[in-house]
Amino acid sequence: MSRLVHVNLLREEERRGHSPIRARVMVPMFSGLALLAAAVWAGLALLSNAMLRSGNARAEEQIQEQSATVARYESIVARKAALAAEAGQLDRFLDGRVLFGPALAAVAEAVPEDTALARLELSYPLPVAARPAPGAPAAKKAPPGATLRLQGVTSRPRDVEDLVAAIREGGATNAFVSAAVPPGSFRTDVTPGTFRFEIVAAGAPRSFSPPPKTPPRRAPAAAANGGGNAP
Amino acid sequence: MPPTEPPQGENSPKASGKPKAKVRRKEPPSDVVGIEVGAGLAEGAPAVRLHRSPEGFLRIVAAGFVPVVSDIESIRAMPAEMRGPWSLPPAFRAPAAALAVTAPDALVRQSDSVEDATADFDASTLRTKASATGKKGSLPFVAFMPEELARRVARLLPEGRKPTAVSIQVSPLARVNAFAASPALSAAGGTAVLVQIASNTTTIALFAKGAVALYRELSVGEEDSLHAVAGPMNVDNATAKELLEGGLVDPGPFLGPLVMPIFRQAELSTDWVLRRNGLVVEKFFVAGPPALAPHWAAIFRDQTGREATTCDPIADFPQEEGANLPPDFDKVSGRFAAALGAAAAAMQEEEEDAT
Repeated sequence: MSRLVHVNLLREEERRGHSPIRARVMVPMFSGLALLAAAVWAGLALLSNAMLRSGNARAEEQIQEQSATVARYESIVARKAALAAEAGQLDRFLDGRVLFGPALAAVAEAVPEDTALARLELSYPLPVAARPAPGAPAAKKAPPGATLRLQGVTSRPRDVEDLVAAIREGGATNAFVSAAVPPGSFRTDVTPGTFRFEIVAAGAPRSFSPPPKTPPRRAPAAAANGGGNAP
Repeated sequence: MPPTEPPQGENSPKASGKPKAKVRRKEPPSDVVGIEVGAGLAEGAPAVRLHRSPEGFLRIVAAGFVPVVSDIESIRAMPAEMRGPWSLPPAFRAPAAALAVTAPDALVRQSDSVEDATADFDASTLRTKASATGKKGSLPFVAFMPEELARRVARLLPEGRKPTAVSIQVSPLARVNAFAASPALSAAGGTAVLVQIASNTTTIALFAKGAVALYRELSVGEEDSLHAVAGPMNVDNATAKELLEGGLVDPGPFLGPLVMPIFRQAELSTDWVLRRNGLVVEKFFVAGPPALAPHWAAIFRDQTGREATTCDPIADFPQEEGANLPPDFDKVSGRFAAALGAAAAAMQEEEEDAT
């Protein structure tokens, strides 16, 4: 096998490709296109980001603007709830109120002619509940009712019974639920033919039933505590 | 000038102690068109397209003269920035091209250093390249040509079209390669002497075991031979050439004094190979113009008694069936030696060293 002597004077950098698609043209071109695509993508991303930021800023501005309105609305709602709570408490107070005027008038009308009242005492204890122990539920005991104590003089014992019946069944039933002559309180007076007597009538227990209304959604703490206006 | 034994002193690449240059191997092309640049032929630039078969055999696919501006002076005068002025006919559009440059200053020398090879030139203006380290007993080949010429030759073929240059070689070495690739050398067992006659020079190449072991270039060529015949006969060179081609005259007495020193060099080269490698060279080949080669061979036979035959490496080269060849290919085949040799060399595995 012959061995030829190939001494090539062509330099490597002088070699050219015969393909019309030249790497030294296509590689920079595609690199440039890739860079251009990356730049366009980056530009679109930046634009999208800027638009999002702008939208966020507008939304925050709107939130800032609306927050004052919302705060005003919330204060109104809270005020309304406080007023509703106050009205409810007033309603309870009115519901628990006992009107003694008509009852006393009815008792006066029922006093017979031969009977004289010497003393009329109406005791009405304040409905103050005892402070519950820490952690213990509040007592639900109804507040005590009023007590009417009548003392007088009569010449007819029968009239005392009529008066008791009038208190028990007459026009005072709205205020008093029972009436009786305590044992030993009917006795003879120093004047012959007259008798001293005493009648004790017990009033109905006070009721502070809740008003038939839907409670407010939100109530400020001050309104919830709201004891200042309570009776 | 007797052949001198290659020095193995301290300048020898083997004995210098320098680390051996790193050898890089490339995949050789299998379809190459060789073109001789600067042949100075009116027909055009000689071009030969070779193809290597899958079995590894080289065959001529096309040969002819391509109509391109290829005279060396026109190429030297080309603007430096000019690119790709050549366009080849379709038959010669192989993927790769090997260009063999024929110019007075495009030479090859066998030397152990580039500096020695280019000592009679301004080395700063040259592009040089040395072959890989030579075989045993041989020196590397140093090819060189002016840098400006090499640049212009490299730009003769356009980019983006077939063919593109893969090799630039000097024509003297390309002609030797044409013989090395020919069946004649194989038939001689790879050991022979080639005497190649060119226009103004004659090269002696001694092949040992298929490789060029010794290369010499002498400044006697076709022109000197024709002049030696034409002078005594009182005719011009063209007439002398016709007479020699026709065999009408015996040029022995005129050519003998001119040719015998060349054959003496060849004989001394064989002695050197015998001493050096123990190889006996029996085959002498004379290649060159048909007007001279047979007469040179006859003179050698008469004077030395050795067998010398003419050879035409191109005519003997295998051809592809239906190859695109000129009608008178047998007569002009010798003109394609440089083109074929360049193509054949470019198709073998290239060895590059750092020069």
